Amino acid sequence: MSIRSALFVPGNSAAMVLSSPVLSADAIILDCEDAIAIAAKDSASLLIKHTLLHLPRRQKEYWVRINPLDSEFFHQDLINVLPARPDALLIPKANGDEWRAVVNAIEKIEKQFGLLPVRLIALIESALGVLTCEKVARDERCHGFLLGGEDFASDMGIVRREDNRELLYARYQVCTWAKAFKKLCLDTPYTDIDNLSGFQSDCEFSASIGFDGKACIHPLQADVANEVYAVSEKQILWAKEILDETERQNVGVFSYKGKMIDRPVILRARQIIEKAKKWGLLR
Amino acid sequence: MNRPIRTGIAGTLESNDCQVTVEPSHDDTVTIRLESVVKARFGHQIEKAIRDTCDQMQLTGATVSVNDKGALDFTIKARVETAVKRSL
Repeated sequence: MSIRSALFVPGNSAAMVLSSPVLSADAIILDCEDAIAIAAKDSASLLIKHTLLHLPRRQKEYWVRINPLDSEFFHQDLINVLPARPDALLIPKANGDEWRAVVNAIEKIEKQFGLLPVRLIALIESALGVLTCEKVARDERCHGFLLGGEDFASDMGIVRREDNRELLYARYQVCTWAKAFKKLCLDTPYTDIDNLSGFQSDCEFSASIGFDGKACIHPLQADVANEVYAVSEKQILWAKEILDETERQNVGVFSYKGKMIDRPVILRARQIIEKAKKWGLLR
Repeated sequence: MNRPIRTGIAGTLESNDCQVTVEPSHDDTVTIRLESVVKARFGHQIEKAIRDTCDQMQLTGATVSVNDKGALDFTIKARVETAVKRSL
């Protein structure tokens, strides 16, 4: 699974859920948590259940953000949503200390309904989550990470800045642990939905430090994220040249256009070509 | 069988949604009252979605009123299930 954009959609909005298949995001996150009022929690998880059972899902993934383990709605969400087979569950307030308890609860219901294991994405959105994400990354049930900047900032008692400088440590920490264990890694949402150029700059920075994609809160953001987290034409051209030259030279290390080309560079070129193939960018 | 003991309401009157009200009735039947912007064309299909959901939930002794604003089947089923659960 490689995801460039994952768009949050309130799980109780029939109109927004209905329009989700035609949006450009690679994944739709049907939300049971923050976007849903307490009085509508039951209604949201049931609409999500029936949506998952009926909507065609071939072109994109459908994930569900459930309520956290310590919420009274956690169990109800699992009972309603898991048998409807979402592509992944987004686990809020994830941290290494509680991760196993969450997984155990999910596995109990998977066993009860005879379900195959669902992919789990850990939403890292607290100081504890950032500091203990190694434990989550090492767990085989963890498929990936999503960094939640707003809750992280609240937990730290800090104010968000436009350049997201306050998230630097959390971003590097989560992303590096994700990469160390070959997990998917998605960056925090950018909350100024009117500022698409700011969103693009934010995506470009997070892509430059290794994030695979971005959580989005508006459909227009998904278009930008899909472009930034895919590979550019220039990168594809470079990778093709490197791989052609590697084949031609047939040695472990060589010089090309004044630069040393060795195994890590060749691997990077292969990764670029793989990504380009995945997103249909190879001509 | 599941018999409502209170009024349960779910859904909205927004486009693509429907509002469902489940109320206790004085007999063992389930009466469906449908108001829909597309009743002439899709009334039977909508009533079937409502009836099927009520049957699956083993509902009895209830009046189910649905004000439909162009909801698809899966939305209707979700709202009926929520309203029934809230009425029990």
